[in-house]
Amino acid sequence: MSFGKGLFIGHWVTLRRFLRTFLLGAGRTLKRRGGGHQILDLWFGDKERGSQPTIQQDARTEGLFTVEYPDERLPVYERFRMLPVLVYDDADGNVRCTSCNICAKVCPPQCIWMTHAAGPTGSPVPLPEDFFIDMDVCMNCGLCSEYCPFDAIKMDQNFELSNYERHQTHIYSMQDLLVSSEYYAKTHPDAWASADEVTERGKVQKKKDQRLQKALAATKPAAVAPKTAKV
Amino acid sequence: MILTQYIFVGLLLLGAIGFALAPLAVVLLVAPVKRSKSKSDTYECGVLTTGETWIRFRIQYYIYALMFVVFDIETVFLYPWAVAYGGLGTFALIEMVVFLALLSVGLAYAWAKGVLRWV
Amino acid sequence: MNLAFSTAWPVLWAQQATQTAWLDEPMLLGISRQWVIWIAWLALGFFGLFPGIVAYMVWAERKVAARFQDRIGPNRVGPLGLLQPIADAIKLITKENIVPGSADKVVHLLAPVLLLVSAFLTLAVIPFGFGGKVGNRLTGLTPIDLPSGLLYLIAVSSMSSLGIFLAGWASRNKYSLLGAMRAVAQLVSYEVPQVLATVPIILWTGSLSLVAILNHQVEFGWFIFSPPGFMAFVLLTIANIAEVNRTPFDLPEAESEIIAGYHTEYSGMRFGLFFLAEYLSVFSVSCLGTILFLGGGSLPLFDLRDLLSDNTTSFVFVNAITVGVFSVKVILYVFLMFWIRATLPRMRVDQLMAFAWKMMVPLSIINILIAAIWQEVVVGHNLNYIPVFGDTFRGWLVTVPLEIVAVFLVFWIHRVTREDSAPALASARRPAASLVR
Repeated sequence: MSFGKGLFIGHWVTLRRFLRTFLLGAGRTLKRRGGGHQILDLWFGDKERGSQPTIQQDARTEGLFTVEYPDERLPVYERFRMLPVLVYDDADGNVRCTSCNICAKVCPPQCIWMTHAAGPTGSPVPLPEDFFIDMDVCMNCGLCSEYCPFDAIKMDQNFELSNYERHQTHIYSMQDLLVSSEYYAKTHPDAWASADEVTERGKVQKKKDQRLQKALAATKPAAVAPKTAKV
Repeated sequence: MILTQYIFVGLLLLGAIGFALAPLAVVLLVAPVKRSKSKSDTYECGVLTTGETWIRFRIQYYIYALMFVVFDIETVFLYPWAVAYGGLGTFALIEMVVFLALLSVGLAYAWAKGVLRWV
Repeated sequence: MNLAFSTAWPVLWAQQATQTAWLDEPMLLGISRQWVIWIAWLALGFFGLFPGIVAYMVWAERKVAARFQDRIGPNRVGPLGLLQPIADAIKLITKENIVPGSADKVVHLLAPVLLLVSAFLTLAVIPFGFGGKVGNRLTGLTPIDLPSGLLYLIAVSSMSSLGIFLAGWASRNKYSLLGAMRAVAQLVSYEVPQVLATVPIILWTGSLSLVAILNHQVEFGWFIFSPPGFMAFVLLTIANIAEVNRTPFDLPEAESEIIAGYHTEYSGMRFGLFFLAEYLSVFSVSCLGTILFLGGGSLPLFDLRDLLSDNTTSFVFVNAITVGVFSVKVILYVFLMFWIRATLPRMRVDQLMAFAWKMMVPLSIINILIAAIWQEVVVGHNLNYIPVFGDTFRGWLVTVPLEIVAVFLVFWIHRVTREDSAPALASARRPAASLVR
């Protein structure tokens, strides 16, 4: 008759769990002190958002699992993606996007739309005049960045997107979307240094230069004509 | 002298009622009151309640209540026996064995009749 | 028949009555000393300390349960989350009180009050410390020392099932009513073993007074240190957990089946009263378990009575120690409840009732007989006989096999007669066979 054996084993298992949170986690939890342990836990003394210590956790983690967000946070890995951003090159300040509209076409929930920049005569320039992403609609699939022929649209890792207003602020315009290539290099070091992206950058740079020159050459006669500008 | 102790029980009874009603009185002053039809509906996970709620219940509950009465009265008999046991001698033990045996037979009968079966 | 014994406690009370005449002396503004003490108990204990204990028991439960699940628990409100109960109280008080339109308004209000009254009244007879000394007898640090204290306690605590039933009935909600019916069935079923488990104590003490039980344990050792005592302790603990509706016996408020059971229709502070009453009764059953089996405020090897003399300093000193020891035992008992809650899942209704009637009741009946045998073997019928080692050893030799046989017998009968045992399970596991039929 094995009646009741499981009862005792079960109680032992839970008690061991209970005790291990003190024994294993004690040093770590006390050292962590994310927040809430202080006598007075007010806003001052809080670390700046994003600079809080990160806690590494994996399958071998024992004891307390709680990550005291926002005083602590889990590490963000490179392939983690949230919303798309537009990258501009630090070197010349040029937006990589050529306003080719491919991202808007492939976007499954159709949350991207943009307006083409026009030159002074009204002829198109391969640059976006404005660029919008509705972050409520975006489903973070990353197809836009996959399809982008100029490596202009990339997936960002910022996940702290809450706002007090949900109509205006949730439609990101180009100002909200632009990030420097330096920022991208920092958040995605492996991708930035990969051979693929290096050659692609070179190619894109060349192509973009050519197209820009062509466009400029095409608009030059109009540009030098001051008549239209005055009117 | 001993009975005066029950004055405290009465005192505590009044005190406890007061202690329970005091926060409810505070609630009347502090808490908001926003009545609405749907808020005062019976809460059944958003589904409108159908049929009468105050209905007759299964016999099983009452059978257990009857069993409880039987065994509660047993306890009423056991308590004086237990209090006096030290002074009564071995005869009390045998007497109580008989008493408990009778009750056990009753329990066994109820058990065999399926009274203790819930479903 | 030993007349000296059966009249012993009334005589002692008579003595105490003569020696406590000082209580009737006027103390403040013509109010007698007894009344001053009682009002102090009410104001400091019942309206101050006990609700505070309950509030922090909720906090402790959340912390302990969190640790059992590898979490931290409340830690945002104040250091270590210590202000959490206050925040909760403020939240409950400022919430709207919603009474369903179809409910019985008066009874709906009455039910939580009744439950709280029941929880409060049970604490009136618990001796939290040693108190003073009359002769060699402790008076107990208790509001009142009723000669029928245990009977009073059980009578008062069974009022809670009435409160629960009124709550379920008045809400006029099917879930509430179902929860209330379950609660009443469960409470009356577990009240039987709860009451029967205390019979060995009364048998050995020869009194229903909790102070007398404390005295007996201080004199002769804790009741848990004997096989029938231990068995009764286990039975009482299980029945206690069922009486206060805690996991694994929390069927009356099983949220996965019947929302919140009998307090589904309660919100705001009325729900708060249910909450308060529930934890207050957890506290009171822990006190009961401690005072009945764990020797109250006494230490196992050191007799604290010797420190007690006539002066106030020793009174305060000894009571501080004994209340401290009592608190430690109660905390351990409450922790045991938290631990069981963190381990065991909720039972099924039929299992619950079967467990009460087919295992607990027979075992506690047999245990009473074994307790009587222990009394016969170890102490005999002389109140003042102090058992020597040989007596106790003989008692263990006789009762341990009896207990083991009793447990195995009850378990075996239950297993054999169980309807959902082997054959039923086997057919359930063979779906093909049932399809053929």
